[in-house]
Amino acid sequence: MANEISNDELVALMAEVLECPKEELSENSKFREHSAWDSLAHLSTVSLVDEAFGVVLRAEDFKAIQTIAELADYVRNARRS
Amino acid sequence: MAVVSLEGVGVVGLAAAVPKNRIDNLVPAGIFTEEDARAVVDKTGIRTRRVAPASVCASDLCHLAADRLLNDMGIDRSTIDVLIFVSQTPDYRMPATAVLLQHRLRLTRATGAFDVNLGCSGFVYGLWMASSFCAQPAVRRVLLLNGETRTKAYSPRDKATGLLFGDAGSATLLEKCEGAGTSFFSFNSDGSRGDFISIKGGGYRHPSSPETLREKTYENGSVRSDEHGVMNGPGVFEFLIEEVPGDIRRILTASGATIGEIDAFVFHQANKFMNEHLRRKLRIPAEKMPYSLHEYGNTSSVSIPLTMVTQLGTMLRERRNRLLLSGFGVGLSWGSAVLSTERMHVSELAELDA
Repeated sequence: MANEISNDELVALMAEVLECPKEELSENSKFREHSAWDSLAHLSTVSLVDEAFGVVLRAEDFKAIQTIAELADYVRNARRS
Repeated sequence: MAVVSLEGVGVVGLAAAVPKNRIDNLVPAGIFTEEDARAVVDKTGIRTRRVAPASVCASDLCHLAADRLLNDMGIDRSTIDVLIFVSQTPDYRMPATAVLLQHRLRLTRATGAFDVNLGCSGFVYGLWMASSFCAQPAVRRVLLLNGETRTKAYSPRDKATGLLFGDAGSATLLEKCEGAGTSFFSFNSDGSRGDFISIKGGGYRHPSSPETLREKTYENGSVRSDEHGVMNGPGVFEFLIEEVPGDIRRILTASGATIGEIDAFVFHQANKFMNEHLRRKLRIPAEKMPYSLHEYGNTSSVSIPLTMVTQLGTMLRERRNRLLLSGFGVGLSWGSAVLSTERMHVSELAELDA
């Protein structure tokens, strides 16, 4: 198992999804409120999380995730289980 | 289901047909703004699509493709013992369209003919059924038809699906063929996710009624009735990344082929973004994965043979190839195949001008 994933790694990933500078986001950012968030951004998130961390972000679970820190928690938990 | 295999049957000829009417997704139309359309084209890779007029059915596209194939190859039609029509947009609820096509294609009354209701996985399933029949000593040739007019199944005013689908038909001829070696197939189903891609109304569970035909407006501005198709895009993507890579690894293992030994990986053409994800995940070289969706959109079970005809024609005509095919989607249903083809006949793409 690789080292624990940091919230910062997910901030970088979401900046890639939202095509915005990393500085625009923080772990507390509510990515769904970002102007670039749409259904295609959702697919990008699922794809990048799978590629980067080998975790499949389930649509059911993802609905409840609001902030980047919560997303990071989800990915860490999924990798532990 | 375990991986199954079969020997000595090969695909010897292939043809496809599309309607002449070509739609450019970037020309603003209907509910899609230029910005919406650009986003869909960038992500899915689908730039143009062929759309059949109201008078043209999937069977008409298959009829044209099959006629061209049999004429081009000079096939004696009395040697075709089995006709399979794979479609979810048949002419009638009954009788089976395959039976009507037996007559239209001037095949003998000794032909076994039936329809198969499958979508995105339907070419892989169809090839297996066709190959199994063809392996019978008494069967000389099998004609597999895949046809869809999916543009008629979805609402053009649905933001999730309005720009994705195209219409097409294909014809595939199978014969006993020593050089074909062994073909491998794997099949899977998950009915628990049956509602991910579906048309709720118009069958016998929810018969057609004024209510099923009533158009409703949804949150995102999409307009559709219960007799239009719906698609849960994120759900389908989740399915894809969870299930399909494993299925492809399994069939590679069973067939004993490495990625390097496969000449082309022909995947169902639904969305370039999704297929590129699969490609990177499986470490398949880009040059081994052809696409036709930029020109023809998602044509359901026709997308694999249409890609072979339009993108791999020269290679299929000129040499022996080992192919890996994978179809995945509505059902949910998915399957993969590894097969070898000798130099085969591939007709030029036919266009139906109706």
